[in-house]
Amino acid sequence: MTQEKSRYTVRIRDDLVEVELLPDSSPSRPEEGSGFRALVNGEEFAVRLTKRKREDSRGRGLYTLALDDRSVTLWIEGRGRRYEVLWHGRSFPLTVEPARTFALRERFRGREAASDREVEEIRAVMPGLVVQVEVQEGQRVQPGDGLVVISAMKMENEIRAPRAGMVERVTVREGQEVRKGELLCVIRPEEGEGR
Amino acid sequence: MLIANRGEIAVRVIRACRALGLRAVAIYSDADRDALHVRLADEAHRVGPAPASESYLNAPKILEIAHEAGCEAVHPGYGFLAESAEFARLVERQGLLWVGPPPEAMELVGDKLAARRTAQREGVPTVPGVYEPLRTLEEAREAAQEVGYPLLLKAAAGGGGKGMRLVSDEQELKNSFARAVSEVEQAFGDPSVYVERYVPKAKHIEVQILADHHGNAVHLYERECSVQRRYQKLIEETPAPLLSPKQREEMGQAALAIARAVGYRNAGTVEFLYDVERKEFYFLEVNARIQVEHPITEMATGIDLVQWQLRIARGEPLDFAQPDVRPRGAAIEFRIYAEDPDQNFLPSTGRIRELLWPSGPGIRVDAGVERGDRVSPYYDPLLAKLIVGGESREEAIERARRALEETIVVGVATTVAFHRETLEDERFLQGSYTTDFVATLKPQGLSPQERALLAAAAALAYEQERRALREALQSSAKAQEALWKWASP
Repeated sequence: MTQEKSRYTVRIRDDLVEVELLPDSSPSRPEEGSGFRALVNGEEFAVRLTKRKREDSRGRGLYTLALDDRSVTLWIEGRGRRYEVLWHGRSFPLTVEPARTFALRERFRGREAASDREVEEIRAVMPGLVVQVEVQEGQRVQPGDGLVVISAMKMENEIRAPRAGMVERVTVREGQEVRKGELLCVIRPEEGEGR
Repeated sequence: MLIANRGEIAVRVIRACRALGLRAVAIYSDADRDALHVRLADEAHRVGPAPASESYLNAPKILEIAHEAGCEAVHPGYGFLAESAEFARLVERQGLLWVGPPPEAMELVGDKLAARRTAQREGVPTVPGVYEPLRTLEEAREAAQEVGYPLLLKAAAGGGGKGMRLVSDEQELKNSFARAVSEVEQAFGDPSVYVERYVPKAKHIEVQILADHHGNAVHLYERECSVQRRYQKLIEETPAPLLSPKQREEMGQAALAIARAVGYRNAGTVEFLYDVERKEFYFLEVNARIQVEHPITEMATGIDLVQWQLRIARGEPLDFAQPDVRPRGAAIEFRIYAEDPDQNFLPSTGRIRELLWPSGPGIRVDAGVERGDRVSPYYDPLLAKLIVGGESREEAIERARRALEETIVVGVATTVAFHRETLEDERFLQGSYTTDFVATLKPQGLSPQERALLAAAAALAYEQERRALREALQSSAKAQEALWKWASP
C-alpha cells in the first residue's frame, strides 16, 4: 500500500473542514479496516473506520469510527462525493472532495458572475395543500423565517427559510395542492452569505 | 379479539391477547399490508384502501370482519374510532364486547363542557371560564370580560388541542368568533364553543385510572406530559417532578371522583392543567381510552394496563385495591416519531433501511415498525416508544442518554436528536419545564469536535472507497494479464 498523504475538503452544511489522511504505519488487521493518522483543522487523531455489516456491497451501512480512544457508531451512505452521515439521531449531508479539486473549482467559481451564485430551491417535503404563503417575491428572509404553510396528514407544517436571502420566486399559491418535491419558492442567498 | 387499529398500539394489544391466551385478529389497510401488527397477529384481514376514512375509520367494514373472523370483542386502541361512542354502541349492539368505557360515559366525557360541569359538581377545580356553550358574540364578549384576556376559545366537542384557539384581546375575539364557530361545527358537527382562562406557565399532568364492573376503581398515579408540540406529546414521565405528595394524592382522588360521577369503566385518563405560578391544578378533560404513554405507568407500578383492559371487559374484578398500587422509582417515555425536529417537526416518510433499538436494564421499546418497513404519509407518524425506568429520576435520565445513543433509525428523520437535546436542557433536568418547552428550545449547532468527527468519517469513507477501487482495478489487470499468458501459447 502506498504511503501517500491524501488531503480533502469536506463541506458540512455551510462549514468547510480540511482533512489530511496518512495511512498509519503500525500493523493492523485488514478485516478491521486500516488505520490512519488524521489531521482535522490542525488537530491530529488516530482514526479507523470499520464497516459493521458486510452484506451491503455498496458503501452505505453502519460503521464504527474509532477516534483516538473513543468509538462511535455511524451510518454512512455515499454517492460520488456526496455523503450522508447519521450522527446522534440527525442526518448530515456532507460533500468530500480532494482538496486540490476543490480549490481549483472554487477559483473557477470565483470568476463567475454574482448572478450565477447558487440559489436555494425550496421544495415540498411531502404532498399536501398549501394553506398559507407567508412571503412575497422580493422579500428578504432570515434563517428560520416562515415561507409556506402546507397541510398534510391533518397537520399544518411551516416550511422555513434554511438561510438568509431574498425570495426570488414564489411558485405556489394558497389553496393549491402540491406533490412531494414540487417547487414552492426560490431563495437567492444574500451577498456574502453561504459561500 | 379484533384489534381495530395499527402500529405500535395494535402490536401492544396483540401482546396482551397472547398473555391471556386470546386469538388476536388484526385489520390492515393497503398501506399496511406487510406491517408489523399484521405479521404478529394470529390472522389479519384487509379493511380497505390506505386513507384512514376508508380503512381504520370504516366502522361497518370493521364490524363485518369481526363477524367473519368469529371475534367476541373489539379493542379500539387509541385514535381512529377509540373515542367514538357511536362505534362503541354499534359494537355492543352486535353482541360484541367493547374494550373500553360504556358509550354513555364516553358521551359524558366527550362533551368537554359537560365534563367541566361534572368536575364542578364534584368539587374538582376547573380552569376559570364558562360552563355553558356560547351562542353569540355578545355572550362570548361578556364571558371573556369576566374570564380576562388572553383566553382560550375551545370546542365542546374538541379535546386534545383540536378546535382550540388563543385569543389575546376583544378585537381578536370579534374577528375570530364567527369563523371559530363555523370551523368547529364543520369539524365536529357541533357548534358549541366556550372560553377558559389561558394559563401561560402550565404543566400538563394526568392521572391513570382503572375501574371494573363491580364498583372497584383505583388510580395509578400521575404522568407529566408537558413536552409537547402542536398539543401532541413527545416526552412523558412519572412521577411528575415538582408535584407535592399532597397534591399527588388530591389529584388521584379528583380523578376517581370524576370517573365515578360519569359511571366510568375500564382504563381511562383524567387530564389536569397545573398552574406553576399559583401552584394549583385544574381539571381539563377525560381521555376515554388507553393512552400512548401508558407504559411509564406500567413500568412504575408493575401493573399491565392493557391486560387489565381485556380482563375488565370480560367482567373480571380488579384483584388489587388502592393501597396495593405502589409506584416505584421513575419512568420516562420518549416518542420516536418519523418527524424532523429541525424542520418544525415535519413528518418524514420513507423506508426504514436500518433500525437498532437499545436494550439493557430499565429499557423497554414498544415499536410498530421493523427494519425494511415503509413509513407512509397516511397515519400518525409514531414509529416507537422508548420507555426508560430507574430507581430515581436521575438514574432514568442517565439510562435514557445511553439508550438514545444506542438508537439508530436510518431512512426517515426522527425525534431522537430532539430527545437527546432535551436531556441536556436545564429546565428539563430540574423538572421545571412547562408546556411551552418545545417552542422555546434552542436548536444546538455542531461543536467543533463533532464537526471534526463527521468530516473525518466522510473523508475516511471516501479514501477507503478509492483505495478499494484502485485495488480492484489492479487485481483485475493482473487477472487479465494471467488470462492472456494462459491463452497465448
